[in-house]
Parts: sequence; structure tokens; C-alpha cells
Amino acid sequence: MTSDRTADHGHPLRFGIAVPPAEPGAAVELALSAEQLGLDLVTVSDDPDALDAWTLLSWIAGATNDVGLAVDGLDLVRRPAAVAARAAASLDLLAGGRVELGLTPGGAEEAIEIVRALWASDPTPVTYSGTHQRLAGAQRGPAPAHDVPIWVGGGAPDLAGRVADGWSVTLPGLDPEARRAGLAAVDAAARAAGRDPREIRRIATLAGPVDADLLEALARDEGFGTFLLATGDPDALRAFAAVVPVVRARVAVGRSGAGVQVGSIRSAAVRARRRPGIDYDTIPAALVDAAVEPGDLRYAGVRSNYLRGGAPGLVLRPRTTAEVVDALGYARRHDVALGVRSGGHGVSGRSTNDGGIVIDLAALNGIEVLDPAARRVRIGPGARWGEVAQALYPHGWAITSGDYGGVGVGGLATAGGIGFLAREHGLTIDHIRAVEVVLADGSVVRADEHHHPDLFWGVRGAGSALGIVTSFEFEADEVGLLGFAQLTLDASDTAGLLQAYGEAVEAAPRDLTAFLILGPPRRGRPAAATVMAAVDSDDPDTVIDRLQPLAGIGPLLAQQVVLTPYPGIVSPPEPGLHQGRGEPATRSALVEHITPGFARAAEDFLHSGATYFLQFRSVGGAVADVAPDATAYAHRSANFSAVAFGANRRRLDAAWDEMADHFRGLYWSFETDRRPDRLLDAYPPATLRRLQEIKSRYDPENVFRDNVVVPAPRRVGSWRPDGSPPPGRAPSRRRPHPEPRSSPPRPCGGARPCRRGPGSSGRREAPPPLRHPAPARSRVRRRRARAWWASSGR
Amino acid sequence: MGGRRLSPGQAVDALDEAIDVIRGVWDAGNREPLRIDGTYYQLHGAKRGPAPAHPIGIRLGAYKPRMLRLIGRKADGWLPTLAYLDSVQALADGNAVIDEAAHEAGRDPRAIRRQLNVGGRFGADPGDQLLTGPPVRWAEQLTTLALEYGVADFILASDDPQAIAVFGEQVAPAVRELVAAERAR
Repeated sequence: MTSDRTADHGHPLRFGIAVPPAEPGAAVELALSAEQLGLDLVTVSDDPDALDAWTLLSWIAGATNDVGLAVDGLDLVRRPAAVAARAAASLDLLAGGRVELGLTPGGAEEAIEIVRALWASDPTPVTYSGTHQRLAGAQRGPAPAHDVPIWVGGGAPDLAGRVADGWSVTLPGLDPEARRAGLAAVDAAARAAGRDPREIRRIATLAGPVDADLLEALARDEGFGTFLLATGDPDALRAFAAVVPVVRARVAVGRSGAGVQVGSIRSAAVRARRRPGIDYDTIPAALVDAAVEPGDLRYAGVRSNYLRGGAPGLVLRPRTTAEVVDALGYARRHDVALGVRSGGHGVSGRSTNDGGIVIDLAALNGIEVLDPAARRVRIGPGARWGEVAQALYPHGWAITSGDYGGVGVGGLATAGGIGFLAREHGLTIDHIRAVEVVLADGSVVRADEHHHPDLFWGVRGAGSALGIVTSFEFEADEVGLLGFAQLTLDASDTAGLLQAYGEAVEAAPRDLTAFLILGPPRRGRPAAATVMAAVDSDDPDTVIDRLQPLAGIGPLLAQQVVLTPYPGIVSPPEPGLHQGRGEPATRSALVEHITPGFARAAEDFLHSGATYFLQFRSVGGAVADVAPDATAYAHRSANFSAVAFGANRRRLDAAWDEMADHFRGLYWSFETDRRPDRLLDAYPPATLRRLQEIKSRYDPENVFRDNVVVPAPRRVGSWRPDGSPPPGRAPSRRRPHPEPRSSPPRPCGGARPCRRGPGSSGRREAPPPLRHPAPARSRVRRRRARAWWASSGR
Repeated sequence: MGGRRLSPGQAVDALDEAIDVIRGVWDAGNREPLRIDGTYYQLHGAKRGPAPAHPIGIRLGAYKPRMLRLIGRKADGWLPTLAYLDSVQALADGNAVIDEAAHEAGRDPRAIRRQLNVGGRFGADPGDQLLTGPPVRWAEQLTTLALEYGVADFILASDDPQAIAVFGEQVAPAVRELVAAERAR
């Protein structure tokens, strides 16, 4: 063959069906078959004699899961381009970024300008005056979920080369000479416009029986990358699908022999926004299409996380463990920051960065029951805890997680997991029975009590420093309806309230887990407290019995008590993109008891203006049943986990450091102070030494260094693993033991009511009785549009 | 969407024509190509079809006399939003305008469904507003709207799953029952 080998543009091959738009039932059947047969695309033509193309395509979108969807030959002379832009973007959003848009040549140039203008994120309205299209100040939006490619039909190769993303021809009726002339015109127009001809896909619609030779020749000699069979016949579709693997294999062999690089080409405009230090041209083939770079439309949805603004140079979105291995291998070749993201909710975690690479595990989100008898479930790191709660609820199970359903499984389950069932059922990590981990060197191992036990130990508390967990096996707990309360209290006497909260929680049976949120006084209003508490009981009397002491820790302003299933507390996330900005300033501490001294210090802190949000989660109970050396989460004796958010890093650090004497450690996931001492607060010496030893074996080159930073022993400089202060630095304010309690905790329960004694609460009236919880409903769902800290006044 | 700017009066006329266009396109059994020579829409022998699977009612959300008369003449339903009405008296007034226009056009006023978007608040304490308080109070008030103001379809505007559940499970059955009992008398 003498054909010009550069004619193969190396586009990943795609195969699809052009379904006749006449009858909706048959069209959906064909589309479903195409998806099941592994085809990539379903197209519907815009035919005035048939069903409306957008409506039919929407119907098909609802019936299918991941096959691509396109309207082909949409006539934007006959209809307003602005309406088509909204229709395409809306369907792309509804269908999860699966839509492509094919236009007839007539009027396409104006239409493309308008459609792209309406999709752009820009607040100014669009005014346009053309031959076919007129817009008088049109509002833009919605923007589609991904960069929707726009194709132009066969008659306009120049236009396709100049501005479009694809050139779509119907082969029957187009003689080969004319076809090749068209292809040459596309290339020439692209080059004249300063584009790479590979930016434009060539789409061929075929009719009748197709053979592998023809498709191979079209791909290799003419640069076609997408093949559509126009048919309404299921048998013809199956025959086509049978040819597909043959063509894929032959083209792959031919390309590899000829050194053709396979991959989609980003447009010149997108390439212009690339960041230095990232080799975009060698992104592994399996990852290239889902990868997001700064010039992509999808970038706005993946750049930031929940609390942190970001501008990564590349977001890789693997779908399988093998693709995680590919992504990690690629990332390792770069000397830029590497973030690993599950739900993107983390406070400490660097799941976004500036100019670096992010491996986003959102697509590894499976939830699968492995053994009903053992309540063993396998969950991917990209699943959200709200989804897990919902999936396990029908089985009568739950896994204690955080307090918000939008949190991803991976980040929480490699750090700790302090949730509303903590005192009853322990930490999230205490329910892990096995993990699959991609290690720094790209190997994939299963770690459990018997295999890689050190790794298994470290993953539970410091997992982000050791590898990427690609699946977790958990043992769920049997959890039915729960009592759940939200109590609003006056916190004018902050110290008194805090101390009383601590005593009430420590005195309560384990079925109570309570979180206390304090807000500083502002605009003349006193400090306010909200108690959110779960009681693992569906008996209203038990629920009230457990909650009543909490209602008395301060003047009760409002109360709501309900019986709800666990998904009602940790509800699935509302759809929407993370829009974090800047850097969160947070501090974490674990404390054993809320002593009078600490309560006074916390009051001063709350009133110092350094914080806008201060939370105390109860830990203790079952959390403390696990030995401190059993996992990398060591501070098992703490009864409370405190976290503070501040608007100003320096002020927050100064005020928080004042209280250091009261702290027994910290929970890494809530800590954003990057001073090296914090690592010692999170991981006591023995834990850190073991972590270092494991790290030196599993990640000797410190690939995973963007979250829990475990320095190699030889690099000790600013701190020492035994916890002693480094030379030349001020001694840490941390003391090995907190101040003695002024009065020992009084055990209560049983015959002795769990209520504050007269010694400490004599100045308060008996608390008002709580109202019994609302009748149990099977689908109670509390609305929590954003998690607690988003609504707390930033 | 950047369409032409019309005055409120022009918009009513354009809507009037648009209803003819829509009904004309749906009239797929008609062999004649669709011709409409309007001020706002011109169709020069457009292809008709597809016909919908059932007669799709065209209902208009309207508050002012010209629109209400258009409903009486051409539409299948009136769908205002309770919160946009000054009072329930506006429902009675609107109904009268629609009925009169229907008579003038030779239509039976009963061919026009009266519908209402409603919103409110469920709670133990009945307020002094419409549709605030316990489900039973909602049911009584909706029954009055049905029997005295001719409203046949009540559409709850809410994104609160609990309110939707109470509306569907408690209010709607109670209204059906109360209306049926009253009509049977």
C-alpha cells in the first residue's frame, strides 16, 4: 500500500448505531442492544417526518447507562440555535456527559458560534445578528457536563476543519474520490486555522453489511475514527458488533507497527492552558478521554474540593484498579504535587492542588454485598457515605461514618471516621476487614490480618501515606431506626455548658453519640450551641431517656427529636460541584475529658474571635475498646474530638496553641496546620516509628506525601520520632498528661439518674422535658443542603 | 433565550397564534399541509405530525383579562399560582371572565379545567394564611376551593419530601372524600 500513513489520526476507534427515529420502542431496544454489545455511540437523526430528535434521544438516554448519545444532522436553519444549545446542554447534564451534537452544513457556522457562546461560563448576555440566527441578549447556560463535541455534515469540510470537532459523512452516495477530497479539505482548513487536523474526528455512517477490511482501510488510510451503522435491524446490529473487535485488533496492530500515537487530541485552545511540568501527550490511553485539564469545560467541576480551591494541571479519573495503576505510574514520572481524591470532602487531605496531578477515584464507587451472613460488604473509595448508608439500609445494616453523606469512603476510611455511631460501634476503620491497595511501585496487594499485616495496620489511620486503596471490605453493623435530636441551646455560659456536655456524654450509655457545635457570639446575640445526637434505639422512651441530660446542659431554645434510619442522618449528597475556594484554616485536638480548666480555655477561645465554628464530637466507648497499637489511629483513650474553623490561619493557630496543654493528640483529617509538630500530635512516637518502618518498605521514595507526611528516619531534622523537642526550637507546649480533673466523673445510670448533680447545676432549673420523637417513618430524610461547616457563617 | 422582544399585548397575540401552530402540527390526520399566515408565525405548508398519543391539554397560567379571554376561547385549562393571586376572589373573577369568553366562542365552560399551583406550610398551629396548619385544615380549604371555585387539580409546589408525602397521603385523600360527600348531597 502506498497510502499516506499520517492519514491515520490515531483517534480511539468508536462504533455506534444510527437508529431510525420512527418508532420509540424499537429505537430504545436497538440502543439498549448497542450498549449491551459494547458499542460506544447511539445517534438519532433530525428527521421532520419522525419523532423529535431531542425528545427521542432523551428517552434513549434515560434507558441506557453509559453509551454515547448524539443527534446527527440537526438542522439549525429551521430552528433556533439557542434552543438547541439548551437542549443539548440539559441532556448532557442529565445523562452524565454523554452527548454529542451533529449539525447539517446549512447555517452551521452561525449555529456553532451561538451554541458555544451559550455554553461558555460568562455572565454577559449574548447578542447576535446573523443570516439565520438572531439573539437579543440571551442568558447563557446551562453549560453542559462535558465538552460536547460538535460535528458538521459532509457538505462543509472547510467549516469542519476550521471550527468543528468532527466531520460526519454518510458513505453510501458519496463516491470515494469526493470523500478523500473532503478529508483533504478538512485537514487543509484545520492547518490554515492553526489547528492540528487531529483535533477533528471523522465520523462515517455506513449502511448495509460492513466488513472489517473496509473499516480498517477507512481508519488507517483515511483517518476515520467513528463508525456508525444506520440500521433498524437487530440482526444487522449484532453482525456489526461481531466485526468490531476484529477491526479494533487489526487497527491496533497496524497502528503499533506504524508508530501511530492513539488518543484524542485536545484543541489548540485547550492546549494553550496546560501547566508546565506535566507531559500531557503521554497520558495512558485508557485514561486520556476521561482526563480533565484546565482548558476543558469539565474542569470547573473537578478543580476544587469541598473546602479548598484548586487549580490542578491534570485530573485523572480511573475507573478500575488497573487504571489506577496506570494513573499512578504516569503521575510518578512527574515532579509535581500528587493529590488522591475520593469524595473531595477532606479538610486535611490535598485532594486538589495547584499545577499538580489529581487522581480522582470517584468512578470506583461500587457497593457490593459479599457475604450476607457475615454482613461483609465491598465498597469502592469513590462511593459516598450517604450512598453507602442508603445501600445498606434495606439489609438492616449501617457502617458508622462521618456526619455528612457527601464524604467519600476512601478519605474517611483511611484516616479514622468519627461518626454518629462511634461510641456504640467504634471508628469506621474498626470495621475494615481487608483492603486492596495500589502501592507506590504499581503493585496491587490485598492486605488484611494475615496478608501484609503491617500495611493493613497502617492503612487504618494513615492510609494516605502508604498507597491508594481501591476497595475496602467492611463488616457492617445491624442498625435499625435511630433516635436523632437537634437541640439548640444558649451558650452564654460556654464553659458551664461545655463541661456539662462532657459529663453528660461520658456518663451516658454507649448507645448515645453526641456532637456539640458552638458558634461565637455575634451581632449582639449570645454564643449558640447545637447538639446533634444519635441514640441507637427505636424505643422512644429510651431515646428520650438518653437525650434528656443533654437538654439540660444549658437553656434549651429549640428541640427536634425524630426516629430515623441511618440514611436520614447521613443522607446521600445533593448533586452539585465542589466550589471550595482558598485554603481552610482548621485545628484539631483529641481530649480525654472536658475538665473545668479546658472548658474555661475553650470559652476564651470561642470568644477570642479566632473561630467561627467549634465542634466537639464524642468518641470513647467502642472506640476505646480497640488497643492503641492495633491500628495507626492511636489515641483511643480520647473521649472527645474537637475541631475549630477560623477565617485567619495565624489568629487561629495562636489561639488554639494556647490550649495545647489540654490536648492529648489530634485527628489528622481535621488538621490543616502544616507545622511538623502536628504529625507527632496525630501519631504518638511508637505509632510513628512503626509507620516510618512500613513507609520505608512500601513507599521508600515517598510518592504519597501530600496528606499524611511521614518523613524517612534519615531525614529527621525538625523533629524526633521519640517526641522530644528538636534542638533549637521552643519546647512543645504539649504535656504528657492533661491537668488533673477538679472532680472525678460521677458514674450514673441504673438507679442513679444521669443528670448533673446539684453541685454543678444548682443554678439551673431542671431541664424542660423533651418531646417524644415523631412517629417512625420509613423514609425520613433530613434536608442538609450543605454540611454543617459550610453553613456556619463563612 | 434571546428571542424577539414583545410587548405584553403582542405576547398574548403571539400565544394565540402559537396555539394554532401547535394544534395544527398535532393534527396529523389532516392531509392538508399546515398553512398559518399570522403576524408572529408563518407556516407555508408545514408537514404535520407526529400526533401525540392522547389529546394534550394546553393550559395557561394567566392573571389578566386578555389572557383569561384567550383561555375561554382556545385553551384547555387555567393554571394560576395561588401565591400570585391577590385573594381567592381573583379566582372567582377569573373564572367569570373565562366562562363568558367560552360562551361567546360557543364552548362549554366545563371544557376548561381549573387548576391551581398551591404552596404552604404544614404544622400544628393553624395560621391566619391559607394552607398553613395541620393536614386537616389544608383539606378543608382545598375542598372549599374545589366546590366553590371550581378548582379540579391541585399541584403542590414543594421540594420537601415530607410535605409531598403528607400532601399525597393525607391531604389528597381527605379532599377527595370531602368533595365526593358534598357532591353526593
